[in-house]
Amino acid sequence: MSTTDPKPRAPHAEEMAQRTLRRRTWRAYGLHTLMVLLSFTMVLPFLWMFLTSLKPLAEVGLPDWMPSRFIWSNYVQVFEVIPFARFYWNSIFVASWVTFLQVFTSALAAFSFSRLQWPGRDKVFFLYLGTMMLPGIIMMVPNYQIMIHLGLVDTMPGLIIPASFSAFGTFLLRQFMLTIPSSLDEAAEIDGASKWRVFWDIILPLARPGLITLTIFTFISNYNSMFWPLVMMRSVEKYTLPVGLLFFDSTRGQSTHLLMAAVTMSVLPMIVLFVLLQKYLVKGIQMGGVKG
Amino acid sequence: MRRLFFTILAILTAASIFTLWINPEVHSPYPIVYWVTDPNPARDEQIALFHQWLEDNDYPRMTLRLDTANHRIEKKIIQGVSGVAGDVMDVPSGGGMRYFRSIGLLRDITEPALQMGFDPSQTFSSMLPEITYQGRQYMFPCNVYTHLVWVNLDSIEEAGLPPPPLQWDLDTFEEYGKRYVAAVNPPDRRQTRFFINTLQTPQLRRSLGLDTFNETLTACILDDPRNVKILERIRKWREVDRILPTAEDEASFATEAGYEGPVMQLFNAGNYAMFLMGRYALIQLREFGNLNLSVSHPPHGGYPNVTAGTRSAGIYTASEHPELAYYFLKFLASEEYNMQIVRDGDALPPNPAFTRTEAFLRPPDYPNEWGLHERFSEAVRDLGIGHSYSPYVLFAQVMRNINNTEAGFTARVFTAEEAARITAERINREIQRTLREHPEMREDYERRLAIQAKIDERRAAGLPVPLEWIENPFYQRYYANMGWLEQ
Repeated sequence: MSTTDPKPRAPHAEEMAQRTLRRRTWRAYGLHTLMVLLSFTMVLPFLWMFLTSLKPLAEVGLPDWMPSRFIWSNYVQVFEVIPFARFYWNSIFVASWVTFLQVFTSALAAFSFSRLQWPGRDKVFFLYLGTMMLPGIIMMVPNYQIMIHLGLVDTMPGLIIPASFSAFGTFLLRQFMLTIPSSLDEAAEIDGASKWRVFWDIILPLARPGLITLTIFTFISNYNSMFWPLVMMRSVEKYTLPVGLLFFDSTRGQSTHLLMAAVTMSVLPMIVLFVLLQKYLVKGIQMGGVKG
Repeated sequence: MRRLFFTILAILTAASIFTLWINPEVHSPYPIVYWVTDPNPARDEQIALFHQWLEDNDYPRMTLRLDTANHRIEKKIIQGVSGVAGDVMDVPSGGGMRYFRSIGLLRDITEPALQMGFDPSQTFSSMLPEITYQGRQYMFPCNVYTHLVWVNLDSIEEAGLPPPPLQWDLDTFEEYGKRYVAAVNPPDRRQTRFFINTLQTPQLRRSLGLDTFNETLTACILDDPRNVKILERIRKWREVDRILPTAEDEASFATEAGYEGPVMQLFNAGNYAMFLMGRYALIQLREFGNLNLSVSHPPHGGYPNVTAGTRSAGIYTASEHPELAYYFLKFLASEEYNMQIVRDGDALPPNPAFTRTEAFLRPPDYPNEWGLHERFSEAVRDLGIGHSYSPYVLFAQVMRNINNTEAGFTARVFTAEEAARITAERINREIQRTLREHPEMREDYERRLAIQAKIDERRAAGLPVPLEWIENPFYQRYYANMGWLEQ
């Protein structure tokens, strides 16, 4: 019986290939170990926060991270000390409205700056972008004065309306819309579609990843927003979470254990949002060159 | 896309209706007066007491509501300059009062205070520089405090030491501290137990007869060998004797940095045998159970004294209801409010009369505290001196400069002599800048300079000086105690 064995490879080449494979495997192991260790440093603050939320006050801040006993009732106490559920609702309510309005207005502006031709368009766009260069604190007094004149101080619309327009959101979506081929709008227009129809039925569906990215950014930043709600709101029942959490740090001392229990509960929506939509978040960071 | 858009819109509209339902607009049959203070559970009790007090005394009715903005001075400023700040504003010190007054946010309350009974005579005499400016009153205290040394007697006993004395000089303090840390820290391990958490350099300097400003408040005089001596002593206690923690020691302890940090937890755990804080420390200490406590004064260099401070309330210039807001300041001087402070342990009541009550001296629920409360009230009454505030430089700038150069000294960027000199130079430069920007202040400044020259001349000759020449509250007391005042 004749055999037609393939030409045997040189033992040296095979050994080289195996060595390369081994090296790559070890490198991958090393890299992953390093990444796991680095990710652990990111997890540590959350772990400290969670463990502290289960400590008695007398053990807070001590070098030992583990509580001597786990006090789950701290979580119940948070609801007894402050109107936590109300603050929670207010935060989600405001962040949801702002996100909805900001994504919509940014999409409209981005469509105009990327798909429509009108005189001075790019100049207006750069002027609009210029507002991003101003530190927020500078705009605080004028914005507050406007809110007084509009009668919106200490109201939910006072938190929602000023945050409903964003140069950053417009920039992000414009960059995204610029990647959509213009032949699509031209084809639609030849078929008789109006500009509004092109925006609504062609561009918006195609810009979905950009819209989701902006949704995440906007929701997170408004959910965590501290200073504007602090300045705007006077009635305790209208406070959002970041402002309401200040109740745990007063001249009576800091109730860090309760604060950490409250913070643990308040970061949950953010963690869920991040886990579900992280690929869009990463894409957004790559696209906009921002940290979020 | 369209369906998604309208679905979200419908959900948000429904959420808005729900929000409107759970947050109805505030309606009150009485005018609403806002109190800008810190978010603090005790405030609810104080508001309830206030409303009851109005009713009991047949005073005009109003609804007092909180605006919890004390954490961020920016909020007060933004609201204040926009004309819509709260009617009553908490101000943390005489320095804050001077700042708020300078930007036009605080109302002069001198006359209503006299008419309604919340003038400076209703509080500790050391509060005068804290609540008045150039003879005019702008605030009344919500509470009064001084920082004394809280002692964990169990820790001291563990080291085989007798309880510390009420007053001690720098050498006695050092000796105690060295013996304590040697007894409780195993020699072959990193030190985790310290004698005390911190000490305040301004108070130590004053105990050597040196204040931040001269007698007429026209110049910073910290470029002085006594300041150098204190800075070097503190460094020795931190780095050589190890009776105070270094910044690294503190960082290794502290995993959070809120109001005062975890000092009381470390005190309770035995890492600090003592800590420096006001009577308000009781609010948290009481949560730790019946600790074996004592209270001593901070160490002194020959002239025992304590710095007295206050969290006070003033009336906003553009308040819509100033005549009603005055009643709140009157309430701060009342028995109802003062006894609430007594019970709560939130520093000292504004009115010293209530520090002589049984409820203050011997709170029935806390027998372990008996004998401690009067140490705070007596310290403020007998040794308490307010901060010195120069009219030519903001207190915040003074403290920032002092803290920066002291940090530079700690980090070995400066020597003690350089730190003392640079502090004085920087603060005096600020004074000159103020005079350049406000030439209208120069006349008064020149008048004070002339008086200062006369004081210096008299002191050099060993002659006494008239009290009315001295504007600095520390030197008013110091000169009196040293017998340097003209009879």
